[in-house]
Amino acid sequence: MMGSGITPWLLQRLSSVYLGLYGSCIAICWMGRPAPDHAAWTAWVGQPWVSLGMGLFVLALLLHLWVGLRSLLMDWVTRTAVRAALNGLLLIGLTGVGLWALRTLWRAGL
Amino acid sequence: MRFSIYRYNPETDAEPRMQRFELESVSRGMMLLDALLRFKEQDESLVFRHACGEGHCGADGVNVNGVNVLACTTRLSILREPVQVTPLPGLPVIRDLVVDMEAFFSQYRAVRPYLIADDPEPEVERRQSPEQRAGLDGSFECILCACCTTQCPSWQNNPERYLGPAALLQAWRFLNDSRDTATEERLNDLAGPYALFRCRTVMNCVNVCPKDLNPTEAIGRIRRLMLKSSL
Ligand code: SF4
Repeated sequence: MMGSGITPWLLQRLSSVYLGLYGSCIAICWMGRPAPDHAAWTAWVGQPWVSLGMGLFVLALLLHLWVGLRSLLMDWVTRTAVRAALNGLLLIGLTGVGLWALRTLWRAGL
Repeated sequence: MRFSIYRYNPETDAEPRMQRFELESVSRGMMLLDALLRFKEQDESLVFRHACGEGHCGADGVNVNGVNVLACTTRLSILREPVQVTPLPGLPVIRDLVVDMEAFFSQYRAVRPYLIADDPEPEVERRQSPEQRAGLDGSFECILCACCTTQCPSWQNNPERYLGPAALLQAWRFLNDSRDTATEERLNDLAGPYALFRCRTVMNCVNVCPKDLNPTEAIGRIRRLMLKSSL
């Protein structure tokens, strides 16, 4: 039971650390370089460390989003059935975005 | 000085209304409670709570221009006119500025705000070192005025399930007491997504606390303790 409060809270914090670190790495990598065309981007993402890092970035982003939006629903939607339905939709939507991102990364050579 | 004061008697009024009052002369150092007492002389039916008049009892919490304050420690000179005085938000109004504090106090009781010590009773007293005692500073001074809890948007959204800053500050006061042995049970009582984790560090509680306490920090400490004990 303790987990249902502390786990999302911890996930939110850990994911934000990773988002900050990876985001900064990307910014440093591309600083001063021209915007890549599709081929250059694919080649760059095709490197195992970049694609793994980006996969984790998407996962962290989705987890972070899930905790934040779940909190919003808990705050503002008081009817249990409506909240459960919206939570379900949220999970389906986020899973869809995750799978789509995975497919994109896969194509780029994950 | 112009005032607009919330009036409502649920037994006779269909709806609340705001009543205008005026204060002819405002002397230096005059507090909002002094003004309310003057208005009561003008209109005996005006109802509000007050007791010590010095910010110790926490009885006269009201909302002034949107911000919860103690009437007895709020100087008239800092207030913007017309001064809107309403009851503490989020609690049922009994009459005028008097609210029913039962929901607030039942949340306070829920954190078991007393020492639980299972170890054998010592000969004289349960001792603390000066450092251990100092660790309680900033939590035991709470006067339970409810200014913080009723100003918290998270509590207003979930008043039945989120314990609110005042009760959580007291939960920390006993979790942090070196003599208390019920840490595990206390943490279990706070588990789940609502009781503790609805705090979103808005920090209204810190802004309005008349005793300058920091419930947000206490909530953060409870979370860290919970994390440590669940690892
Ligand atoms: S923490 Fe401060 S604002 Fe909250 S009940 Fe205690 S004294 Fe009042």
